[in-house]
Amino acid sequence: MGNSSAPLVLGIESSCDETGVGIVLGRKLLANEIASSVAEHARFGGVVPEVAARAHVDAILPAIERALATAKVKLTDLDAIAVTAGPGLAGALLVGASAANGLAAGLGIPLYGVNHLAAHVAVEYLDSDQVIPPTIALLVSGGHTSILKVDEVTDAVTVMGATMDDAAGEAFDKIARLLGLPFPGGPELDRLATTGNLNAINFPRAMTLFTDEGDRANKEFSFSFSGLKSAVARHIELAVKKDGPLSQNARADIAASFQEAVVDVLLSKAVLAAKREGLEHLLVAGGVAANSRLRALAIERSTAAGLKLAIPSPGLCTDNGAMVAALGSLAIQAGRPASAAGLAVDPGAAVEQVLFA
Amino acid sequence: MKTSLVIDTSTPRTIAAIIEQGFVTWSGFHDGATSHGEALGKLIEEAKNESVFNSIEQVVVGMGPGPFTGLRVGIAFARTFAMAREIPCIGVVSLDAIGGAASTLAEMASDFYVITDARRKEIYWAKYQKNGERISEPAVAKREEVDFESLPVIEFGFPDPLTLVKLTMHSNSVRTQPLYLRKPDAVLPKLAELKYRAMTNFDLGAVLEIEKQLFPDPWNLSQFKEELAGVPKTRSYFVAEVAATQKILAFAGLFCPGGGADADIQTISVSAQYQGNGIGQALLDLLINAAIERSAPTIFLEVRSENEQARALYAKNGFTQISVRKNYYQNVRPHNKRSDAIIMQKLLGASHG
Repeated sequence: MGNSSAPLVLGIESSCDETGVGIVLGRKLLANEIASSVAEHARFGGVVPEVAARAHVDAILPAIERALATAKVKLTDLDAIAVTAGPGLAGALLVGASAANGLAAGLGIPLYGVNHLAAHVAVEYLDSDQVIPPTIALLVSGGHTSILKVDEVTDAVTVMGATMDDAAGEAFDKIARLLGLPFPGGPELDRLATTGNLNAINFPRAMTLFTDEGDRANKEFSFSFSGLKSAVARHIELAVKKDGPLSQNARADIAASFQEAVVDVLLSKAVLAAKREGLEHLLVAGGVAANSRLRALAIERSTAAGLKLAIPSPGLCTDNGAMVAALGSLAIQAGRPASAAGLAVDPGAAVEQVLFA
Repeated sequence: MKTSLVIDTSTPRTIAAIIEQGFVTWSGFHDGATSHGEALGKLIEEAKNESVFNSIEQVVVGMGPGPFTGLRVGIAFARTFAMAREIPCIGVVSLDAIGGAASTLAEMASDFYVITDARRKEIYWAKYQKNGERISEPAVAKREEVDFESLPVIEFGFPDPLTLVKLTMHSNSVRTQPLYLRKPDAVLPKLAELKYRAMTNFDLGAVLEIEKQLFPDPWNLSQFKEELAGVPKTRSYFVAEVAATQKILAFAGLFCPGGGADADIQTISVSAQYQGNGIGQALLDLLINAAIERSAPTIFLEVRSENEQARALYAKNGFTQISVRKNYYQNVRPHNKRSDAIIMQKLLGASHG
């Protein structure tokens, strides 16, 4: 139905616990369906890979059907299938890749295996016709925290720095658990923090002080959150020992102050990276980019630094199929080759590998 | 027999074939326990060279049992391929395609067992008659726990593609859900101490909540009240509750009029968050005891065909499948299709009359 300048692409995302199916026509978003197995994981307190993989098998056909209905297209109209081939949970990735393979083989159309992280960046360019500029991307999620230099999203992505321990989203989930919030902790902590004082406690901002130039060169775009996690845990222990169980206000203040420590570091380094590379565009993406404080501070800091900020709507920040379809579509428009038969998933894929052979 | 694309990834061998009019037009396989995804992709690429690739009428896929990750490759692929071509996808028990083939090719002289590797020093197994008919529910167990009765054991077989297609005609071999037979390795937070007791009318509020959560076609209050009105003359009903808080997590019921009549399990329902803790087993034990106490010679039950967990529980407790009622249940998610009821029975060894 489309053509190589505006291909009709169906994208499948199943790298963790969300089964996402999205459909795009060129850069126009037609459908974005998500089935989440978060409820099944709640009783375990976290994502269980086997539970996620089983859920994907059940969720994928209905999600495809709903996406087709919303987009008002038929499978036979599609030009290509795109699927997340990595990084992510091996069993989960394999379900999505196998389903994508089956669709592509049944329809006789090409399959594009794409990188989950690059897809988080690509989604921002949907529903816009403008040429995509070179950009610094701050990618923050439960599994990843990195600063990327994106010269061309289908082909030239390099990592300027990443977390040395926990991803920011993981830190949110762990602190949420310490504060007695239910799974998934990130959004719950965001909610709690809105009623707290973000200046109440000055938690440490890791990797912002350097001993010498060598140290700086190594760490200035890197992150570390385990020290922050320990500091918050210690603060909670001492407070409870001193005053008994935490009040709602105390918990809100801790949430807000912890959150501030995280977003402060994330944005300081991202803005610095843009300045260092002489780039005007900053993109903030990934599940944690749905966080209200990160979004607000991103606007403040980028305006102050004279940078143009791009940040997808919250529904497109968390894992979804539209981002996969978007990257597939951009790859086709840039003339990149499809994946060969026998596409293998790679749970540990580096972001530099945007497309999979 | 429809022209079929056949796929099986339930063993370390990835198998694909095209069957036309009872003959294998094309087949291929690849051995590798951790590469089903790539292997299937490459095999299908070969299959595309066959002219019949464009006139496939159905997809047949092995549903296991088998190691989960590989098993899902074939199932996910088969379902979407069938969706793309708008043709049916039929799942069959992979083990039966080893058993069925063995009986045809090897002319077995007696009942026999088929086993495949389930990893973790366990096996998937089932018992077959010499004509290839399976006579036990597929199960997973430690090898030393299975009594092979000195019968032949087929251990190194692979599902035969032609047999996989033939199995689509045997209701006992057709499955709509993967046969995992084993729960995910997930550590549930420790469950508090439970108490099992007879159900009363006061429990019905909680019971109805669980019923609505679990079933698309739940019983209503009057139906439950009618059941309890039959206690103890013709019914036995139990609940499982947390001892400390009296929160009800599960319930079960038996119809058993006594006087030598057969018993029927009416329901065993465990709240979704508490499944996997052995509560279903404990309730089943209570129901079986109640049936024995009333001298029932046999217990019957109906279970949804796609409820592999329940079927495995019953199989583990000596229930065998005796028939299928097609399209018995309505409003089954996710496809709003009807699903089949599997009728199972357990002989209790009490005498009639």
